[in-house]
Amino acid sequence: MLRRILAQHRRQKASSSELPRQEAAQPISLSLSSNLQENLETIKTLLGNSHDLLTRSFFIGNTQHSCAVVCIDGLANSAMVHEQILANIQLMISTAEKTVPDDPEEILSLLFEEVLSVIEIKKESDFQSMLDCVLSGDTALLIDGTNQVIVIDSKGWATRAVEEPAAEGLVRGPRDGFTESIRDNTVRIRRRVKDYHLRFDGSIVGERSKTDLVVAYIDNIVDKELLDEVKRRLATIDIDEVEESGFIEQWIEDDFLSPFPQIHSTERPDKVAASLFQGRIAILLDGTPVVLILPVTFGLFLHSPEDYYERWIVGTLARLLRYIASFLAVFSPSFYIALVTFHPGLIPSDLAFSIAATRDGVPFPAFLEAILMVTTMELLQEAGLRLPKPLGQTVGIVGGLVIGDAAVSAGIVSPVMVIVVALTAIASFAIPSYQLAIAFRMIRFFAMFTAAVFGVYGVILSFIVIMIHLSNLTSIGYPYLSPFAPQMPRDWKDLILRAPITFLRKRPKALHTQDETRMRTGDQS
Amino acid sequence: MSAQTLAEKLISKNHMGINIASVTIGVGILTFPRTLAKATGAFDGWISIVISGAVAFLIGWLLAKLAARFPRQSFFEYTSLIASKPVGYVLTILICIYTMLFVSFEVRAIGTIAKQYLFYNTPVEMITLSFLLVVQYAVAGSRVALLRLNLLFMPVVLYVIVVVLVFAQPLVEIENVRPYFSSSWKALLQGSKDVGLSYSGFEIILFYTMLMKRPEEAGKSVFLGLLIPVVLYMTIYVFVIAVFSAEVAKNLTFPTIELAKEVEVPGGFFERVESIFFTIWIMTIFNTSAMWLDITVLNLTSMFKKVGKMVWILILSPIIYFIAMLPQNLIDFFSFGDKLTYFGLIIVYLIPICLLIIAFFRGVKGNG
Amino acid sequence: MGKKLRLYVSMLLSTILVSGCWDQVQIEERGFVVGVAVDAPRNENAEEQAEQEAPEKPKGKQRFLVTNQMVIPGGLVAGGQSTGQNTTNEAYLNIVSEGDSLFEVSREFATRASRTPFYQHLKIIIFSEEIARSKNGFGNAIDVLLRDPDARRSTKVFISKGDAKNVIEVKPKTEKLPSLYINSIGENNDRTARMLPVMRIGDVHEQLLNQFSFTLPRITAEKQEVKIAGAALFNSDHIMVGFLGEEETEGLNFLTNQIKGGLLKAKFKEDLGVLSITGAKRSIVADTRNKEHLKFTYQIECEGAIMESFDQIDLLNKQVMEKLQLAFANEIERLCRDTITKVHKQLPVDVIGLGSHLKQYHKDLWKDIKNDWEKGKRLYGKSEIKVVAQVYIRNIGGINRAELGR
Repeated sequence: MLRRILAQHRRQKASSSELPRQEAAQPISLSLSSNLQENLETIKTLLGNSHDLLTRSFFIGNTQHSCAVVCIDGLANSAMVHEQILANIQLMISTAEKTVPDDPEEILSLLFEEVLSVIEIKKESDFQSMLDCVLSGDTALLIDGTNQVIVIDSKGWATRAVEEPAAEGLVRGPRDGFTESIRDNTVRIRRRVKDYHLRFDGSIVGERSKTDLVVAYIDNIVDKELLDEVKRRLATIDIDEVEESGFIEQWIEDDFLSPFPQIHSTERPDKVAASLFQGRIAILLDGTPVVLILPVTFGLFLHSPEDYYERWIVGTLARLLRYIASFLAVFSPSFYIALVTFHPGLIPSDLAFSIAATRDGVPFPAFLEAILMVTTMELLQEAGLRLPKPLGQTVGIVGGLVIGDAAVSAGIVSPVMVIVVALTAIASFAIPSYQLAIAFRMIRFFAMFTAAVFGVYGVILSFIVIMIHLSNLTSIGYPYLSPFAPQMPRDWKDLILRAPITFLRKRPKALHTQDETRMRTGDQS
Repeated sequence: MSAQTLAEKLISKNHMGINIASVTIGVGILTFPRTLAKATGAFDGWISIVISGAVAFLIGWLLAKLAARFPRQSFFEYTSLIASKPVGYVLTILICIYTMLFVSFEVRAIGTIAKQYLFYNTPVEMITLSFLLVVQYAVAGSRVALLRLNLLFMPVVLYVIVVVLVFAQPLVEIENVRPYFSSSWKALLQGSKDVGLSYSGFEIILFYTMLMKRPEEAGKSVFLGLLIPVVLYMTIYVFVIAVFSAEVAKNLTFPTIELAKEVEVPGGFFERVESIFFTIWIMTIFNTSAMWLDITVLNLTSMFKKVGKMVWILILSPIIYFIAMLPQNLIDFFSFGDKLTYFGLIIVYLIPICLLIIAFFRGVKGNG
Repeated sequence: MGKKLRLYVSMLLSTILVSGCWDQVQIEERGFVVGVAVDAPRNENAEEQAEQEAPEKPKGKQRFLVTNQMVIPGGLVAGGQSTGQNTTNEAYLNIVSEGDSLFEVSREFATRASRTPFYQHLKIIIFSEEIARSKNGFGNAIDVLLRDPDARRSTKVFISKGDAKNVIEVKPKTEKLPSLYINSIGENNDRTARMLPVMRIGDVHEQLLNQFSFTLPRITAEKQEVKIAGAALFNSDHIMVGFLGEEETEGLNFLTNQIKGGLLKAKFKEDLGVLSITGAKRSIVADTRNKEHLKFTYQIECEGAIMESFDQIDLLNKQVMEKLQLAFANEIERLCRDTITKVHKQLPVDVIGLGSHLKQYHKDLWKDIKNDWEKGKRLYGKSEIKVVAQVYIRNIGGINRAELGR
């Protein structure tokens, strides 16, 4: 309840306190005049005579009717502007021996209906909508004497080639990833989902950035209430710029105080397609290869598409390993602290003696030692991330080997601590979702503090606190911990276990899908 | 709120059963083999466990009948319906006192036992305070999330107990178990009475039935909820007697912890299981006390609708903490627990059954 | 209100954190005690001194001389490069002190050792014969070891012939810590029948609460090694009354169904045959018609494999085999008879499980004679015990004969 108030508070603040911004972003209510020159001047003024603005005035065919094309250099496909617009208008009219009418309005409809052989084309009559299109790569065709403008789709800018997502590599599975272009991304999804129920609901977010946003779902699978809720939340977005889908994620998530991610993000089209088939919703944003999937559950973050591509025994073992890894990633330093400083009786005698022997002469208490090492590891991780790839490896080697080894031989930390920290690091790398791994990194410190105060008792209390938090957490209203709690035994087949493909007849119950069955053959019920 | 999220705010029959099992398994599980061995002096104590389990089920079934008569109505609402508003007020307040004291008892149990087995210098005040804060945090969240925690912790607890028992299996000496059927009926009944105290908790059915999808299934929930502790208690008792013999069990303060203490995992990472066992047990105590605090708050808010949940939690916590600090030693602590259960015997068992009879004869029924 | 609450809670938590960590003791600061030896003091100087200093001081009935064996972890690490504070290369330190309470003694160590004694890794406790024989020694000494939540119930208990201190001070060649050395010897009872099964302190607690006599393994110190064989007999008042020798212990193990392994030697024809015991089972048949004169028959079944046969006989011959089995059976009966003579006739202590058998299988009779069993009318001493043994040879090894008969 408290949290909801805070969240509301934040949203209210966001919309009320920045009034000047709204004024600045007020739409231009100017309509086009019928004077071409005047219009061109207005465009130049509105865009501040921008460097990348291209205008070209010319005569239609062999007449004296002047017109102009306006586009943004680089955004519009210049080959297309040449061939389809300039060449067509200048040459085709003359070669086709069409009589060019005198009335500018008629010229416009002639061009619109017959001359321009482009699939996406529309008429606009005000500067705002025209500029919106021009700034997203379209070309505007202004004709002297009319107050209308033809907007021709000529989007075509340099995009990155399709690559395998670096952060979500697989041994087995498709190699393509999303790119920054939303069109490419919808293509990737459409290629995998040929069901005609697939819907791409487009909208524009960002007062100034005007970014394309697409909500993707499969119409007769998705839970309609979920869809309404997602759309309602998306409608509340009121912000100038949306650079990355992270903005969307943070705006529509349920609990902004939680360290846990409540919306899944991925660069893998296969993952998105699979989620859509399960009854989830994907949100694509132009300009980023990261696609949001929602709603999610805790278990989903520990799943990898590979679990399904490999045989089920392999998949199950891998998942089991990941659950163990997440436990280790969070709790192994705190267990080390608790066992070494509070309960050495729990460690087998021989191990206890050898830990005691290695710690002999270490000046710091185990807690400080652990904080020191874990922080160093975080630093290394962060440093390696920012540096170019070859340098990043060097940092890894310098940090891992040199500092680790030197710290041990200098007697600052004990070798066992180094092992524990290394184990923690490896375990957190084994978690497929980077979002969740970051959450675990934060919780790790919390658990270490409680362990330093109360030993194993503290560790268990911190575990309980995390569980309380997770139990209260929701993702777009869906319980985060389902199907553990609330229990849905049907969904357990695809949780820690990955039952053989033929056993997974139903979609997740937690998602309340309209169509529950995935496999109809052999289904008696 | 949409219909779908509303549906998930309600709990199923099995979930309710797990809730009852979670609230029942508490401090009693650590001490009951001692009291039972003292009363029966032999292996036959398991009969007492079954007898008292059956009696508990009978009472629980009656309570479930009462609660199920008034679906979607709180305890205060239906007692007011059956026996006038003032009676409802008095009874609900008495129950609030009972449940609140229960939280104090559980919180203190954590303090006492943690102090004995895990800490030496850490003050009991700090141990209990940290625990109480965690309980508060849980109750401050949504009610259904709190109940879902039972689903998460109960399997863990059962699993760890089973592991402890499996590793205790080599220590079993069959001589300790014999002779069978040597206790008198009187001893067995005495034992039933003693072990019956460890079953208290199933009365949550009175308050949580209103959250059930199908309140008429409350009786089945009580059955499941009591079956788990009955089986669990029986297994533990059998193992305690088989490992220690009845003579020794009588002389151990917390026989179940001592059982875990005997166990050695061969070649394991943990040499001593008892601390692990104990920390896992903290989860059950957490569940128990969080639910009791939640019920207290639930009853108080049902009476005084204007006061918010958070306010009640903040008012109750210092009182609970203060009462928890009152017992001076183990004897005080145990007698606090016993007195509390006897108090509860009247408040939550006897009076509701009377209410059921009144409701039955006067034909009062809830809407639904 | 929410924000303020958060502030208070975080303030409270940070206070806990800042002032907390009450129980933090770094692992290298703990003095792991792995073995404890309890003796009676040799001279009374310390006691007299204490008497003079504070005559009013409450006194126990028995004074103890306690040796704690504390691990020096640095000494355990192989190789010379010791970075720590370890000055000698020893892996342990024996601290000796005296007092009339074991807890007092353990706290007294704090005045002399830089590391606080920590008992959760305690492996063995050795009581000297003298303590075991004294009237209050054994029970009193063991109380703290059971009561302390720190102590584990799996610590092994031994009774030493002679001083317990000498046992814990042996310098074994194979292990660095004498206590661990003794600890692992204690687990070898699957290879010899002359060793009692391990008695953990939890088992001792059980025995102390029962009304029966019991036995504890005996340990003897030599220069560089110890020997765990034989048994110390305790009567139902928990006072030690005597030792059983190695062979008698073997008999005792047969009678109490505790044979896990070991060997039997029997003379057949002219020379020895040796049997490796792979299993043995015992059952008791009680004739309870006459309460004053109970008759018990031990039926022992034992199986094993021939390991050595010096007399070159045909082991594949059925008659020879049967005779051989009989010879081994007679040997078992002899061992048991010797033991029974000692524990039944000479020192009547019921360590052979008869009372416990009556309690388990004849509970009505037992209720009747409970107080007249070892004490009172001493029905145990008046009973009659018979042993019948049967041996099954399952395996003769890889050869029939090593050489042809001479």
